[in-house]
Formats: sequence, structure tokens, C-alpha cells
Amino acid sequence: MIRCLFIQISRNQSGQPVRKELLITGETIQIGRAAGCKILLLDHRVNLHHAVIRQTDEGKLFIKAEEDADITINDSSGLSAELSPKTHVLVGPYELIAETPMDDYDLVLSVEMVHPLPDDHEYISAKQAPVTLSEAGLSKRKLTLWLAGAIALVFLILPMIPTLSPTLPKWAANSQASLKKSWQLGEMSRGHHLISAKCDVCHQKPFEAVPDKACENCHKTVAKHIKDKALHANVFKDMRCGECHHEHRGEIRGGTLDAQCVICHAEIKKKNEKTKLENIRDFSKDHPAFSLTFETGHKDSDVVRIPQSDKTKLVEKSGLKFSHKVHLDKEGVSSPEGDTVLECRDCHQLDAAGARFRPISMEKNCQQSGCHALNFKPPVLKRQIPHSSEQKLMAVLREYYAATAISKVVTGEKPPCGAGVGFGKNQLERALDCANHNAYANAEILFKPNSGCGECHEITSVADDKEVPWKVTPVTITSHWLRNSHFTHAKHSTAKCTDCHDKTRSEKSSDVAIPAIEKCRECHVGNKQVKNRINSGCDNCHSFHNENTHPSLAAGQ
Amino acid sequence: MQRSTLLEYKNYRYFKIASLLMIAAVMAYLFDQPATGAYGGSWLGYLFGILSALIVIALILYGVRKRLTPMRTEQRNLLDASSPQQDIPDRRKREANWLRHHGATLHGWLSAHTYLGVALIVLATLHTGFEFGWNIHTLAYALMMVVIISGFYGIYAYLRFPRLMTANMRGSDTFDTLLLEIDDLDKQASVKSLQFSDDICAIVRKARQETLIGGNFFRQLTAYQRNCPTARAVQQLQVLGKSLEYDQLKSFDDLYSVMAHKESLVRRARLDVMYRARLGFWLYLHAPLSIAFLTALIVHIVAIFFYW
Repeated sequence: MIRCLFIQISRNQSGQPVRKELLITGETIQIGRAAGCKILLLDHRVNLHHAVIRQTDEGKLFIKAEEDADITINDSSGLSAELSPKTHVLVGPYELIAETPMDDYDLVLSVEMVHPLPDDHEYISAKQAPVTLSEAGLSKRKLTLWLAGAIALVFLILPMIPTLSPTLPKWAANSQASLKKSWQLGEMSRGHHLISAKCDVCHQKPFEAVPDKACENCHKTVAKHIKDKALHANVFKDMRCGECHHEHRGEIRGGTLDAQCVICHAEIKKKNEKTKLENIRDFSKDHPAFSLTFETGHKDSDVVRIPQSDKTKLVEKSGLKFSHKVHLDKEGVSSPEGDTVLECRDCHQLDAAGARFRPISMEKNCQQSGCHALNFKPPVLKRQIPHSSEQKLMAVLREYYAATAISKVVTGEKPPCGAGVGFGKNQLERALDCANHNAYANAEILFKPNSGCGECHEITSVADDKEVPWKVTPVTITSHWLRNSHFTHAKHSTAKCTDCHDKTRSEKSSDVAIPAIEKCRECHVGNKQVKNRINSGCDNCHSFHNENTHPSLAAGQ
Repeated sequence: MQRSTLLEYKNYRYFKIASLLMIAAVMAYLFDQPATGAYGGSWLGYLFGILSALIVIALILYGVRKRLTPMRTEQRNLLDASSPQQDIPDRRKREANWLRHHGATLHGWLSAHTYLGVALIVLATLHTGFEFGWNIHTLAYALMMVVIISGFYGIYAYLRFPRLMTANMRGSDTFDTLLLEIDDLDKQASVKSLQFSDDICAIVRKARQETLIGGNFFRQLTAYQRNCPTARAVQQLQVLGKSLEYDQLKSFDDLYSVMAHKESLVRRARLDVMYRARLGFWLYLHAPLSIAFLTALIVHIVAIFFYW
């Protein structure tokens, strides 16, 4: 039987302890909040049956936790302990202290609530998790400073350091130059990729537009648009290269756009009253008929430009007589090797640039296969008269017949002369007369209007020249009909020649077979995209800086 | 009379202005065929750029105006302190009138802020000429778009959540009174649970100690606590109640109704946190990114003219 003095301690308003004593007896003393417990602790943190106090045979008192209950003995958790004096046991929020036994009590046990539940609002708020985003650690100010600071540093301050301090070490300058690329509006045009990291090659002064001088430092030979310097200055005034050449917008036709041309050419007549050019906005809509360039001589200035709309004047005076119809006959044209079917490319061969054609020559194109051989009359084995000037031709004839006559004199034979020829003083003089006579007779045959040379050339008589009284009209074949364009035949190789040049029925060399603009428009349209057509701007055919011709034109010469 | 929403302000005044601006800009863009192709550097491109920059300044000024308002009111109060005979409601009315006459109410500013923000999408996009790349210019544009799109969410939030918050609070409650009520119910439940088994007591204790309202960013936004101890307590009490003896049932019903009430209050408190979080979180993007965008815009302008 345990006799226990149970002392319940509470606190008054001033915090002083108030003791209430109670005698408890029993074989064991139950502690918990169940109705049957001798020490009743009413708090939800205490189990129904939390602990029990037992006495051993030796009279020692022990406290033992019930199953599933936790107690703390002298500040460390445990399951049971002897209740010697000064033992502290924590049961839920209550502290049990075994005090020194007195009188006839086996145990003196004080109990005090040491962990009351707080009930003030501040405590309730404090134990809450964060209920606002700023309490949860988000900060607008911090994020603002970090973001704005990072952008200013990476994209403004660092890229500007090389400009502000030009003596940076190379590695630092390079790394900052790559940061400066973030300033570029778009990809560099292809030609300028080499200097894409060297901004100051073009941008010479901060906050100043790129001067033309910067362009001309490299592009030294670029021609102006208009040859006449005064007119050029008047038309373009202070317009900069950069206004047309946008180098930071990738590949927009090499940095320029066609519509730039239209700024002036849409109303070119307003800009310059004297101009012969037509107003033009778009290739499809109002591009005038092509003007063909006829070559009238062999100098660059020997040209006449005739618009294709002026059809009666479209006659080529080449000095030749040539029938494309005969040469392109589907049955073939007669040659030493029999009838041969010719194709355009047998004579017209592309130049190295693929733009236009190599010049036609007698030796390469007309005589190569044995056609159009220039024979002596009568023919001489293994000898031909050269295709050259009238004088040279005459000289060759004279030399040949003189040599033949002299060889006859040496062998004592009579030179082959016709009747009434060869009345000189001696044999040699007579042989010379004979030779001259034969040469002249041969030349007469060659220079007949429709045979020999006259078969292809126009021949006129020259009365006052007794030595060579014939004149072959000089040949001028136009090699470049559309001189203000850079048309490339190679790019049109998918088409047949006759799709554009209808020469199969042409009997005269004066026929011109350059296609009109309507032919081009069957495939090409202007700036506006049209389905199944090729979008073509001004610079597809024309060059702005066209004092110097396009490289493809130069190669054809 | 119900106050018009910020979208309807002054009979859609700023909607009309912004619409006209956008239509004019699109028409100009379609009709203009610049020789250089559409891009920010054509004269129309520069015009769009200047207009956009002015709009950006106006939009940023709203943020300044919003933050200055309390300061201005204080200054006004200080000035008015010299005339103490005027009572406060009069003064407020006078101030409100002054602002209204000058078209400068915060409500009006917000309406303009909203519609000009929408117009900025059109103007700035036309300013780009649809040329984008990996550069500071497109970065500025992208930041601007994020700011504006977050603003759209803000409008949605302002129009939706305050109403839901009021409905959730049922007129009179505040978040703090809800917390006090919950705590009171916790205490009641603790006392009521004392007579029951340790299981029931532990469930109630756990519900009191471990139920969380709010929490980190995602918990606030979702109003969700995994295995919420209060909700579980209500479920478990339903099960445990079945095995009780008859004489305990009345007391148990009391405990159960306290816990069920607590659960509904916890849900409402969490919803309140959620609405406030959803009402406010976009500003953590909108405000910092708007300043980041302003910085990028300044870099854009400097870069363009530095290397003209």
C-alpha cells in the first residue's frame, strides 16, 4: 500500500505558487486523464493511462510509463525510474517532482502544469506558416535589382568598355566584342562577316551614322550610279551608302532592297526633266520595252540603242549574208562529210562566265568541218586561200601564181596563161604578167557577189583601186544586245534556245531575235510575289553601281 | 450605383483611344511600303518606336503614381493641417474631386495602363517589322511581352479574386478572426477529446499542432496541405465514432461537430491565403520585369544610336 501526499501547484495572478495537498493511497497509483486514475491530469497531451507508480518488495517506489506513452525523467526520456527525492518526471505538460518524504508518507509528489497552451493572438500568428508571398521569401525589389543590374552590366556596360578604354588586353577586348554582338540587329550581310566583330571599322564615331568614307576605305573601285558627276551629286545629294546597304539584316539581296531604286525611278522624269528614262515602279507593271544595243563599229562608242517597240528599225547591219534557216534545216546542211544536222550550240558557245557567247569566227565555226573552204580556182591540192583582208588575199594569190609561173620558166615550160597574156620582153616578165593575170582572174571569181567571199559577205566594187578593186563590207556582229542588264544564259539552261530566240525560219542575217520583255514576264514577276512565278527585283538584271559592268559581262568580251 | 470596372472606366475611354491607335498603326503599316522593307529604322518604324517608348513611360509612371499616392495624401493632409476647421471626410471628398476633375484617379490611371499596354503590343510589334534575333533588341521585346502578358493575368485577377475573397469571408470575417476562431475550436476540441481514447485524443492533438495555413509559394497558391491533419481527423473520427459506447455518443457528436466546423474554417482561411497569393504573385513578375524591360529598352536605344 502506497501512501502518497499529492501536492497540486497552481499559480495565482501574481505568479505565486498555490499548493493544494491531497492524500492518495493504493497498491499502485495510476497517472492519466482517465476517470479511474488516482492522479488525474486533464490535458489532451496526457494519455488516458499515461504512467503508473509501483512499490517494490524492498519498499522502493518506481514510476513506469504505460504502453504508447512518453515520459521524461530528469530531462531525458525513459520508460521507468526510481522516484528518489528530487526526481523530475515530465508527463505531457505536467512536471511531477518527488520531494523528500516526510511524516509517514511513502511518497511526496508535487505536480505543476509547466507547459500551458498559449492563447494570445500573436502566438497563433507566429506559429502559422507564412501566409503572404513576401513572408514566403519573395522580394520584388531584390528581383528588380538583380535583373536590371544584370542586363545593364552584360548588355550595356561590358560592351562599351572597349570603346571607353581602348587599351584593353586582347582577350578582354575579344570577349567584350562578342558581347557587343548582342547589339547587332540581325545577321551581318555575307560579305561583311569577316569584320563582324570589328564594329569600329564602319562605326567610326559613337552616335554618328556610318560615313561613306568608311565604306570607301575598302570599296575603292565602286562606281557611282550616274557617270555625270554633277548630275550624280544633284540627284543623290547627301545620301549615304548605308541608306541602301543595310548590313545588319542578313541576306536581303546583298544588303539592299529593290524598292530603293523605285524611290527615284518611279518618278524619274520629275527628278530630271532631261532624262530619256521612263518612270518605273515594277517589272511586271510598267517596265518599258527593252532597248537593244546595235553595234555599228568596233569602238565602244559605236553603238545605237533602239527600243524593241520600234520594230521597223530593228535591223542588224552586220555586213554578212547568213541564213539560220539553211543552217538549222532539220534535213541537215551539206558538208564534205555529207548532210549534217546542226544545232545552235555547234556555233554559239557560252563564254567562261556562262553569261553570253564566244564570238563566231570563220576558222573555228565555218571552216572547221571543211565547209566554206576558200579554194583556188581551179582548186589546188592542199592549198587554201586565207580568210583575211582583200589586200592580203590578193597578195597570197599573186605570190602563188608567180611562184607557179617562175617554176615553169625554170623547167622551160610555158606558164599557164590564157590567150593574149604574156607579151613581155623576156621570159620572166612574161611569167609575171601571167601570174598577175591568173591572180586577178581568181580574185574576180572570189569577189563575185554570190560566190566565194560574196557567198557570205557583202562586196562592193572600188573603181579607183586598180590593184584590189573590191571591198568587203566590214563585219560588225552585235555581241551584247542588252547592255544595261546582266542576263546570264547559264541560269536559263533549262530552256531551249528556240524558246526565246526564234531563228529557225530566219533567212537573213539582218533578222533580230532578242526576246521582248513579254517573254521574260512569262516566268518573271516584279517585287510582288505571284504563285508559280519568279520574284524578280531591279537588281536581278540591273546594277546600281553600273559604271563598271557586271563581272559576267567583262568575261564575255 | 456599382462602380464601373477598370475596363469600363469613363465609358471605355481608354479602350477607344487604344483601339484608334492600334487601327491607325496597322493601317499605316499596311499602306507604307518602305524602300528598305519594313523595319524599325524606316521613318514609320522610328515613329512606332517613339510612340512605343512614350507609352512605356506612361505605363511605368502608373507604377510611380501608385506608389506616390499615399505620400501625396500625406502631404496634402499636412498642407491642410493649417485649416483644422475642415473635417476629414470633407477634405477627402475635395481631394477626390480634384483628382477626378484632373482625370487623375488611380482607377483612371489603371484603365489607361491596361489599354495602353495592349496597344503597346501592336505598336512595338510593328516597330520590329517582324525582324527578330538573338540580341538585346529582341530581348527587350520579349521582356515587354512577358510584362504585358503578366499584366493580362493581373486584370483577370483583379476582376475575379476580390469578389471570391469577399464571398469566402462571408462579409464580416477577416483572416485574423478566422485564425482566432480556429484556435478557439482547437481548444474546445482538446477539452472535449479528453474523455476519449488516446487515439481520438492524438488525432485531435495532431490536428491542432500540425494543421498549416499558408506555407511556401506553392502551398499558398494551391491552398493545399498534403494529408491535412484536420481533414484526416474529421475522416478518422467518423470511423472511430462507430465503435463508441452509447453513453459517449453525445459528447462525441459535440467533438465531431467542433472538428468539422474547424475543417471548414481552415479551408476558408486557406482559400483566403490562396486568393491573396493569386491576386499578388503576378506582380512579382510584372514589376521586376517591367524595370528589367525598361533597362533593356534603354540599352536598345543606346545601342541603336551608339552604332548608328
